[in-house]
Amino acid sequence: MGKRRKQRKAAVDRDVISRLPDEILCHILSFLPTRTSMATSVLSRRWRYLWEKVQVLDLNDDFLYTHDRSDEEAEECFINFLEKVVSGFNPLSKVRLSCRADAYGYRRLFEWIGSVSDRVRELYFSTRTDRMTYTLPFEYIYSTSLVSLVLDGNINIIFDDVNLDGKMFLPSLKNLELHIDYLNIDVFLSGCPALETLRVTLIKFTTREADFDLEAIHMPRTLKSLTFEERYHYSEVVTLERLQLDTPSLEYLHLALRCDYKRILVCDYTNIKKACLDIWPKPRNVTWVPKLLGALCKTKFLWLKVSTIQCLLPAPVLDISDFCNLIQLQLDFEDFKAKLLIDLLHHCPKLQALKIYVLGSYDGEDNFYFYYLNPHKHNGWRQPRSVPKCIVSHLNTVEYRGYQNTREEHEFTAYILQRGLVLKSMRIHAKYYCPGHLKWEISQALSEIQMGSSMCRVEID
Amino acid sequence: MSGISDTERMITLKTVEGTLFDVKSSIAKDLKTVQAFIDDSDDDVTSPIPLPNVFTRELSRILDYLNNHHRFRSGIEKADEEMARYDAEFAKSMSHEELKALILAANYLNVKDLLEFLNQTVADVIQNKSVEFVRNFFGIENDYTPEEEEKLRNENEWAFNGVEQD
Repeated sequence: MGKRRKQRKAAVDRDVISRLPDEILCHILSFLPTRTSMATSVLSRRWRYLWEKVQVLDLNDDFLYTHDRSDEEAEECFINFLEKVVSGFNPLSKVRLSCRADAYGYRRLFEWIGSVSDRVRELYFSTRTDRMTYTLPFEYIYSTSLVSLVLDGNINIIFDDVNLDGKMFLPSLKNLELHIDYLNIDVFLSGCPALETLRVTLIKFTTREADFDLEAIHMPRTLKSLTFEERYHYSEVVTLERLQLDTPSLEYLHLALRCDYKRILVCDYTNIKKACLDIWPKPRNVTWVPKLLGALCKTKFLWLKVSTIQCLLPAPVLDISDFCNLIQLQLDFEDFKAKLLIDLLHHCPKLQALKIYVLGSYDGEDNFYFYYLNPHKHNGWRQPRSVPKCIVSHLNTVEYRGYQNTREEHEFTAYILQRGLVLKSMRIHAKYYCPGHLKWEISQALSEIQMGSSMCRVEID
Repeated sequence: MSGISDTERMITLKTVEGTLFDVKSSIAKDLKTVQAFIDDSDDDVTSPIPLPNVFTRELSRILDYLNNHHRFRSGIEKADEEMARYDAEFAKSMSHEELKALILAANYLNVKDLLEFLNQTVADVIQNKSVEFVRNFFGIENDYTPEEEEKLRNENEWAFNGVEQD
């Protein structure tokens, strides 16, 4: 670049620096915690009141808990600050709050939440308590403006004396994330008719103040993404009547269920892309898991965890439809079961990547010494009558974790290597506690196999 | 060229320095300012659209970003990971001056997603830095008197309790 052009460019650059308009500066400030944003008021006169134009309040209370203050003082300080600062922000579109709550101040804190929830579009509230659980009155999050709501912490939401018929509590809500102690999820979801993304982890099935029993769970029809983990403690019931997943727009599903559900209602998920299932093998669940798999037949990625595999094992024949779009399949086994795997592969005509994780059982016997004494577990391998289509035409990557070089594993691996005509990579991770010579044994065993694919790389580690 | 459908029509853009860029109309849609110009024109836009506020360096980066993001979105596996990696590299490859220049260009062209990303990047850069650093970054001259600044720090004590001092 010539000297003159360089000079002209430098002049333009300098000019550019001072030209970032207020609108952009405010946008930048909106990504910062409010305290940092407030601090920009000292940069220059122009910046003095810029932070107040930001429509985002992002606060946490860590900075107040110092050794020269008691916990109660810190909490009171913070709530006073909250009450004062919120009036300066007008309009306010998003609130992100992370703070402690205890018996002393939780009421005022929840009231403050109630005062902002129907002004904002996004509310994120995370609280750590002193091991107690506090009840957040439901009216405090009743809001027509909220589009996104995240609640996290030791809180309960109790519905009391609310007329539930057709009442939409959160009519604009599209995104909901709940990691709290207790709420009646079905009642809550009945008031969210526009919900598209739901992430929920439930721990408690019931609580002393609970009014309505949970009988069934109905997911909002508009859902596109669902992560539902129900980890009810085994001592709490529970058999539920129904899980209703009539959500035709569903693209992503992660389901972790511990309870026994008598029935599931599904529909054709024509847009489904990824699904992960962790469904405990309770007696009723086992009867409908194949039906759920059928509804998910258009998915591109599928991950079946140990529990779900156990739901499928008892059936002599796998009665599911083909996964016509499936590209990647991951299966977590407690013990490797080649027959089930081959059966599944028959239903995945276009599969490109296969991941097998053998976790082993938790009974403590599955350790190094046990392996050393019993290197040959029961061999469940039976030569398949026909080769699954995907092995011959599409499968290019296989990964196996927890390999112990049992007879069944070896037969399966040899089968894939010999018939995998387009196989590019086979990675085997030996079971972690096994001695070094296992890797040598594995590579010896596999070196004698005639590979079906000339470009296949076998890695063992 | 055979096989080009309507959606693959090309738009030509001209930067301040006179450089011409051929852009697919599907990408041009993300340049909302340009799209508005196209929509407002009665006839098909055939001659190059001049962008009086946009330099070659910036337009080149913007198009690079948009082309890559379109590619990631239409792909399947690992797109999220790759996109995150690309974004990180993209942000790192620029000096602070270049970052600010790009923000202005993206703002003028109204490229929403890119602008969101760039502003977040600036926020990350200034997050835990001192007042001096931030002044330097934005090219700000301190026009407070020492007394005024002291008073302000007291008024907004919440902000300064625990923040890095210069």
